[in-house]
Order: sequence, then C-alpha cells, then structure tokens
Amino acid sequence: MATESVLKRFRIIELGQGVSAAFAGRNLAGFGAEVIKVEAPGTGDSTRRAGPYRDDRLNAEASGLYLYLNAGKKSLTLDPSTTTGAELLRELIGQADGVLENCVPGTLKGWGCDPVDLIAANPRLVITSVSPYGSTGPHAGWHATNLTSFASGSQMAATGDPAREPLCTGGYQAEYQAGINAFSASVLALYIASRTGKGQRIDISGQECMAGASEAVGPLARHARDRRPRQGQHRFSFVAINKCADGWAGIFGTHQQRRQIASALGMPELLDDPRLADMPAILAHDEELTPIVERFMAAHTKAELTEIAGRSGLTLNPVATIGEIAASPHLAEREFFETRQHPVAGDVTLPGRPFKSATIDWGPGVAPLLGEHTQEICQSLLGLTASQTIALRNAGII
Amino acid sequence: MNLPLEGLLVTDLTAYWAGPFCTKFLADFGATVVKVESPVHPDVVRITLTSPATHGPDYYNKSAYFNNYSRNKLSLGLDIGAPAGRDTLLKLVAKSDIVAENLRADVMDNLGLGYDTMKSVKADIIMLSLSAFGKTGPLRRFAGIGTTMEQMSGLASLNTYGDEVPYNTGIAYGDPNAGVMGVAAVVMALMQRDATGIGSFIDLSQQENLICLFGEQVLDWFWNGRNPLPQGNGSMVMAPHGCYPCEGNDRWLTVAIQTDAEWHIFAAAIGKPELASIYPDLLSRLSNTHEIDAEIASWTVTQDAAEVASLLQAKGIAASPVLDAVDLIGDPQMKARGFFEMVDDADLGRWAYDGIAWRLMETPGSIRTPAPRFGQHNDHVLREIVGLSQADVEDLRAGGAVADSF
Repeated sequence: MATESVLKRFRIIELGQGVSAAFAGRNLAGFGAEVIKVEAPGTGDSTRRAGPYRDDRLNAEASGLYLYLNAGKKSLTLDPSTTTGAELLRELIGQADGVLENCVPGTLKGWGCDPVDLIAANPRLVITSVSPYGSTGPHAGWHATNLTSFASGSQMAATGDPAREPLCTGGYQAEYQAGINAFSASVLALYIASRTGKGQRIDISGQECMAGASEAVGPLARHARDRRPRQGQHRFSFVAINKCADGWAGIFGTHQQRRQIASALGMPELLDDPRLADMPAILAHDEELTPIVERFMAAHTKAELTEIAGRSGLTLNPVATIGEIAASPHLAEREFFETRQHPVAGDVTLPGRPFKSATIDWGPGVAPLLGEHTQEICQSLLGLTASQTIALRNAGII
Repeated sequence: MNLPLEGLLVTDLTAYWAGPFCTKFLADFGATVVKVESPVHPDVVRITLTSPATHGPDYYNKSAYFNNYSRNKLSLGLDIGAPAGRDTLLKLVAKSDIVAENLRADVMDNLGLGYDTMKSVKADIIMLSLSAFGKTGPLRRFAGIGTTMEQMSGLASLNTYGDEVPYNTGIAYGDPNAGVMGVAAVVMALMQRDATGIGSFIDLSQQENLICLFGEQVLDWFWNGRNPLPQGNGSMVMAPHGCYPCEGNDRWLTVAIQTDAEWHIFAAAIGKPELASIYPDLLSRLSNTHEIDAEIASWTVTQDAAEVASLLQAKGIAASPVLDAVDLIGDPQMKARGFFEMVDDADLGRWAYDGIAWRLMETPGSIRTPAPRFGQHNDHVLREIVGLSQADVEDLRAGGAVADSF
C-alpha cells in the first residue's frame, strides 16, 4: 500500500548534545519528519567523539554513536549564544512544528529563545525538553552523566549482585529511556497539534521516566515500603543465568514448571521430587538443586538449549552476544538490520525500524556531515544570500 | 483538552507488563480503555506479588503492581475462548478505534482473532501486537518474558561488572520500553487514519525495540567484528567513574569526573588533594582506577550519600546517590515536582501511584479512577459501550462467558 510517511509534514529543530534528544530525533526522522540538528560550528555534537570507529580510527564524521542517533537528519552549524545566531534560530523555529532539546534547563531562555515566546510566535509549536531531572525543582540544574542519571531513577538500585555495588545497565540506558519517552510524548503532542492547531511544552525528566517504569519494584515500594534486595544473577536454582558450554544462558522455572524442568533436564524423577513440590521447598533446597542445574547447563551449547527449550516448554534463553544478534537468522529474515552508504564511514549497518507496519513508512537515511545542510537551510529557510552566508561563516556564527 | 485522547475506544487484550504499560498512557491521556480479562487465564500480574496482609477471596484486586499500571481502565471479565465471549469481543472491537495485545505472536491468529478478523468487523481498526519476537521469522512462536528479552536481545551481555559474567536488569527492561514505543506507533497510526482513512497493523517485536536502545554497539560488531568491551560502572573516557559505598546499609553514591579541572576539585573535596598530583591526567587515572576507587571508597564509606551528592553538585560535579524505589518517595526532586499521586484504591487504601512522566503542559492527562476490580465494569461496558440489553448481559453471565470473579 503506497502511503506517505506519517511524520513527513513536520519540521523539527533539534538542539543539545548527546543521546537523549538525539534518539527521539532519530525516530522522528526515521518515520519521515524533517529533523534539523543544530550543532556547534567547528566541533559538532559530543557523540561525534564517542565512537565506536571502524578499525578504531578516530574521525568526527564517522563515530558510530553519532551515525546511529542522527541517521536521516540534516546538520546545521549555528551558535545560538551569539545575537545573530539566536535571531537565526528564532527565525528557523518560527517555521517549524517542533523543537526537541536536551540543553541544561534554562539555556534556551538564556539565548533569548524563551519557550513561552516561541509558542506565542508560532502557536502550533511543540517544544520537547529532555533533561535528567526535569526543568523544575531543586535538582533541575544538577550535573549528570548517564551513570549518575541512571542512579537517580531506582533501576540501578535493583540491578546487580546483592553482595556487590549496584550495577549500571550497559550502554547509555538512562539517556535512551529519556529519549524513547521524549519521542512518544512528542508524537502525541504533534498529533494533538495537528487536530487542534495548538502546540505546547513537554517537560521530560529522565528520573521520572525511570521511576515510573520500575515493574513491580516501584509500586511495592510505594504501597508497602517494601525495600527489596537486588536479585543478582542467581535468584534460585531454576531462575538464574549459568555458564553453558559456549557462553551463558538463562533458565526460568518454578514449581509450576516441574514437568518442563524434568523433561528438559532428562530427569523424570524430578517430577515427583518433594524438593520441587512448591516454592518454599525449592528455596529450602537451593544448595542441592543448584548444582543439578549448573551441570545441565554446562553440558549444553546455546543451540542445544534452544532446541531443548522448544521441545520441553521450559524457558531457557541463551545470553546472546552482540555478534550473535548481528548474525541472527530470525532478525535477518525480518530484515531488521539496514545497511546504508555513508560518504566517509562507508558501509553502516544499524538496527532499523523499531516496529513494522505496512501503513507507517520508515525511511532510514544516513547521518549528515557536520554542517552539511547549513548552506541549503540558510538560503531556503532563512532567506540569506550567498554573501550573507559567507559573512556569517567567517564570523563563526554558522 | 486536558484529556486529548478522549473519545477513543481501546479494546485492551494485553496482560503482564509491556502491553498494560502502553495502554496506561492511552488511558492517562483520556482514551476509554476496556481491559478484557479472562477468568480462565487471568493476567498473571493480578495474581502475583499481592500483599499477604490483603489476601482473601478477591486477592486479585489487591496487587499494587497491577493496580498502579491499570488506573483509568475499565475491566470486562470475558472468556474470549468461549463462542459467546468471542462474539461479544468482536462486538466491542466493532466500536473500537484500537485493539492492543501482547500475547505470543501466533496466539491471536490461532484463536481466529487476528488482524483480518478484527478488520472484518471494523475496517479502519488499528491493531497493535507487542510480541516477544514479532509476527514473522523463525522465533515467532517463542514466548518471551522480561528476562528472555534481555538475554536474547544482547542487553544482558552488556550488563556486567567489567568481566564477562552477564546480569539481567532489576526490572523486565524490555517491557516498559516496548510499551512506550507502542504508544508512538498507535498515535502515528491515528495520524495515518486521519489523513487517509485507513487502519493499521503494528508488529512490534520487543526484541527489536530493545536492540534499538543500543544500536551503536551493533555497529562495532559489523565494523570491527568484536563484542563491546565490558564497562561495568566504569568508563573508557572518564575516571573516576563509579559507584562507591556510603554510610548505612546498602547505600551508594555514583560519581563521574569529566575533566582534569573537576578532578582537582573532587580530590580536594574528599580531603585527598594529593591524588590530583599523583594522577594528574585522564590517562594516569584510567590506568589506576582500582587504586583511585579504593581511595574514594575509603572516604565515602563514612559519608551520607545524599549529602555528598549535594556537596559535589554545588562544586559542579556529576554525582547522585543510588536511590531505590523507597528513597524516591522522599527524594527532594521527586517531591518538588509532585510525581507520585495519592489515589484512593478501593482494595489497597490510599497510596501513591506513579504519576504521568510525559508532562504535556497544556494537555497533561490525569489519574481519574483507581484500577478496576476484576469485571467491575461488565454491565457498563456491555450495555453502554457495546449496546447489549440487560437480558443479553444476563444470558452471557449465565452461560459463563461473562464473569464477575474467578
């Protein structure tokens, strides 16, 4: 079915650094929005220096994190801290449907781009502000990195070995969570604006997003002041991650899966074993049951465990390495990874659309070179002449 | 326009967490969400982690976990496996804008309740399927739970203390993030329906959505053929960068030093300015993280985590206590922003539900009603929304297709 990308009519101006706003922008661009990323002249976004790089050769035009987060966007170099730069930014935002930003709260106002004024001048505008703690409150201006932000949202306290320090989840998960929430909230506000003509501000706090997404842990704490220990790698015999013949794999079962456990382990006697009669019994015999599970897991490869899982109905999950994900026949059949040619980085293979739908188009592009679209945007949207553009470049404003 | 999705009707067949987390947002912003609950296969979240103090014949109305994520929803107790239940479901779908489900990818089709069936009763229906591995591909018949997704997406392999021993997160991390993306998918489908009049089917694989949260790691493999180096709480570009013990039981502080200037300030703040001369630059700090971390820990262990964080923040340094879910109730920032909302829960008393993290300032949504008891809205939904007569409803009840308890 031929349909137009649903977000195609929206122009979004992205401001800030790093992962959170950029991940929201990546998704908006992927589903068709025109996303103009404003970068600092000369240096560009911090993720241009984050890697990974092909053959570990540092190159600000070929940093993996930048290429992933900014696929399909346009790059405009502009310094909004200058008077002229701020004027140009206001002019640009006046022609946009949305602003997506993760600057330190108050930064836009400091540039003379107070969100209240921007919306007064352009009532349909949606301004999404993403920050670790939100734009108000005593910690609004707190300094943060992914680690310290993750620590503030209660998920870190629940992760890792109870006998060790809490563990920050891999990658940039505090920032990605803020970003995915900023994306969906922005889409909702753009939908509302398209129906009512009225935009608004959105204030996304990473801390609140994480706090509100803590499974049972949060509600139990709030209702019963229930402070649970971290669960670690080994919760009990049949719920654990164990070493297997070629890596690591998880097992998940309770007394209700006795039949599946007995079948998977090839030990029919376990079916009537009183140690598996109920959860208290399983927990009481953890020291006896754990070695049985460990021996079973160690004797099988990930592929064998997957086969046994399919046959027995027991949940046995290999811990996939990134390399195994990259080579997954399942993901290959679903054409999940997408390869594009980048003028500097060459082949770039990345995760593709976050969901599939025949009616919601996804059009991945490549990430822009620093300032690649500056001239085009200055002339088409800002109405500058070629000589004005050159003068601004010489002044370091663009 | 406080409730921007008012007027939309959602048939919510989701259970566990990913799906209910998605439809929670739709309900918070005003959609009428009818949670269709089977008395035969009840939502596991209703029946686990209930408080022992509140056990009783209707214990399944007393799960804080379930109730927090089910506010603003209506409950219809309906056995969709029974012919009369199935017919009733399709009558509800015929009035709906959206159908959401997060069962194993083949289950709805096997029940004869796939997208084609839904479309046959409502031509422009939007159907969201939030399965573990998606509707196609060799893993489509695999069921997934939270830990499954973390392990089979590769996330667990990134989640280590700096060696190769993988951990799951403390929550079922794939679930809420799939739910959040599901909202964007549904809203984009609404935009498409507004523009063209057509409905949509959305195939959201939780595995794929989770991989999207660490896309850069995949690129490292495709370019360099290596799995990412384990990081733990450390960093390749910052030092010190870690989680340090503080005074009290299981109290911790995270600190990230981003520049040499911050390092000098930090070393002085912890009363060990000599460290800044011994390890003057990033390379020397990265090469001696164990020694430096031990020095820091020997100081933090006598300190209050929240006080040290405030002190370091005042000096421009990124630091945060590791807050747990109980700490958040008293956290000054969470309190100042009023994130938690007191709700009079019919069976659990008055307690603090999570607020709405998407702060849309002009259309903020709201928590209007606590979570429904099982089947609480059977009569309302069947009569006012589906349009059945009271006699029809009683017939369904008598035949067992509609249930008020289980």
